Amino acid sequence: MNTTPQWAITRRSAAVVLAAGNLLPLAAQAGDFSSRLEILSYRQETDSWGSSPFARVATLPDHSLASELRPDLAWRDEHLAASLKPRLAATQTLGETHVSTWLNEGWLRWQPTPGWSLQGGREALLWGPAMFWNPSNPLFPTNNKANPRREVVGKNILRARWQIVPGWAVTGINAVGRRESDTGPKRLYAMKLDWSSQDAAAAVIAASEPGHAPSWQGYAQWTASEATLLYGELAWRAGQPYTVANPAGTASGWATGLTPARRSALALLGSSYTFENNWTLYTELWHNGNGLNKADAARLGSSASLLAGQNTAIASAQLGALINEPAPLRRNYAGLQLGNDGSGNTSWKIRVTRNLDDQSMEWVGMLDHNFSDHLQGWINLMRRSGARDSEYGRWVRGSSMLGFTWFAW
Amino acid sequence: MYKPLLLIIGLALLPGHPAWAATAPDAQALLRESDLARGGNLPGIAWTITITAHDQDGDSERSLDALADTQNSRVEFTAPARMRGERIIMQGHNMWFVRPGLQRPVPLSPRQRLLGGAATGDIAATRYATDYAAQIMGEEAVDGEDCVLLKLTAKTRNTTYDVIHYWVSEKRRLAVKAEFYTVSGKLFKSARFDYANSLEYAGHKTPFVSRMVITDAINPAQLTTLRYTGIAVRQPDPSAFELNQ
Repeated sequence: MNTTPQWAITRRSAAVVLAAGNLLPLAAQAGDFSSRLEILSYRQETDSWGSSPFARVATLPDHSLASELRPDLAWRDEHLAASLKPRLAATQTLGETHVSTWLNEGWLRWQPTPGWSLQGGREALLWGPAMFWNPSNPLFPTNNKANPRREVVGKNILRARWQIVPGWAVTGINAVGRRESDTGPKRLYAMKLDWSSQDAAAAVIAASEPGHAPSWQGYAQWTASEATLLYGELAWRAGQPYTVANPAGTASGWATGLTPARRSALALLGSSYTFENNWTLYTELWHNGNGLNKADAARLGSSASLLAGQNTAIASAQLGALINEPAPLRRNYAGLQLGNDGSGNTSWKIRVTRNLDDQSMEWVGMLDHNFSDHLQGWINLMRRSGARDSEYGRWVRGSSMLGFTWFAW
Repeated sequence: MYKPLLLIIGLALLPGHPAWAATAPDAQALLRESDLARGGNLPGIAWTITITAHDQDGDSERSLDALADTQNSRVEFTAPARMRGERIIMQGHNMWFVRPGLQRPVPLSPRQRLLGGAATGDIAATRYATDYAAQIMGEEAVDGEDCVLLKLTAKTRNTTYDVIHYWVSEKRRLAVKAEFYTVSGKLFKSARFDYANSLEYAGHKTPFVSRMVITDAINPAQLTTLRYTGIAVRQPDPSAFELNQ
């Protein structure tokens, strides 16, 4: 078995990680310094649909072992603050060990006068009240709610925030880059106007990518009672182009192509209710105007099935292209999440997502248990069901993650 | 003809008639005064809270640093290690939970519990005079100290509690005991307060809350103790309550 580590460390990220260990403790002498260290180890198993045509071109490893070192370093004084979150991960899969390092977040903030702040560096700038999907954020197309063990990797962002009066603030955002492997726009300019009152909060975001028409986003939430929250998110923007299969005079009879990135509405309505036993139920309905319609989805399903029965050399390239589609794939969804409050030593959560267009479903269960103040054991289970050509019935049938987190300090 | 008038005068002179009624304090003003010793009505305040919960499963403890201005509060957990860096941001009655690994702020309802019997609303600066309408119910001694018993009724539906019975010391103008009720009138927890801390503000030295002990009404063995230390009046920068900090 080959267990030779395959290092994937860039010179720049290694320098940042080394600097993290040396510079911030020195700065600590002049301000408040804090740090925390998390070490995760977990085993992940993936179960693919045996009949999936995609299994021909992309064999998912049935299990992998991984460990991650996650130090968080923070420093602040009266006018300056800095944060550094370098990461080191080792993954063993199919008999090979891969080691990688990266900078998840690292930024410097300057507050010249009360109410003003300027910040630059890498950060995961996430917002929006919804639990399943956040269409109001044009920078980060996915959040990590379905698997909170995975961190969202930051993007390189410059931003300036002005608290105009209590309850009103405006932020100018310039995203100047991201890692090659990450999703979402590389460059983006945005203005975000935040408002909050005693019982409600809202934001409007205007954003523009170079060479694209501006997009509009927003969200609002209302604390309707001591137990009820109501919220919504909206967006009017162009989606990422989708890969679809079109009939063609090729050997396979099909050719993959990209859909035009048309502008359409994305909307989500949600509510949460906390019961007297402190369980909380979230209910959400959402519409993804950029998703595949029924005809495109049917072509996608039938072309994948047809390609599965053809010569590998002809079919593989097109099947490979069909796998990489954005999520959510279709247009209409419903989500339910029920969980306890986590104030005890055991917390749990169940999430159900139903694709209302093809009726396929995804179930996620999460269970955490604190063995001590430093050690937590956890398990995440995911199971999917649906027709062979449906979103959740196409490729992966289920997965599980079983792991431990050691909180060193 | 004079009978009704005589009856009214007679009733007024009965020995059982509360003598304090004639000199009864303004309920809302008394509530506002008592809020000061629990962090309300100050331009800004910073403190450290240690929460200890005791129940049949044993003891658990959490420590957090809190910061508040007139509208907003922010608490950051410093212990135990597994919670270090977690934050709760409160803007009015809007609350969010931010975990270092999760990154995205998650909205919370005021009902969601923090630890043991402590609700998220219990750790914020107390602004009962803003959130509740006070009404004097009578007077009662608590541990030998004469108190005015106030009934606090929530002005809106999104406060942490619907109804509170609140015993405020007549002499010290501080809340010494509270009972928390649901809309249906069911008692679900009670609390006692100590004031061993002091605070200097506007040239005056005033007592400040040092301990809040919460007892669960259904399971009296479940005790939650909040200890307050390191109190300082400090006007925070508004950006301290920004979600993406």
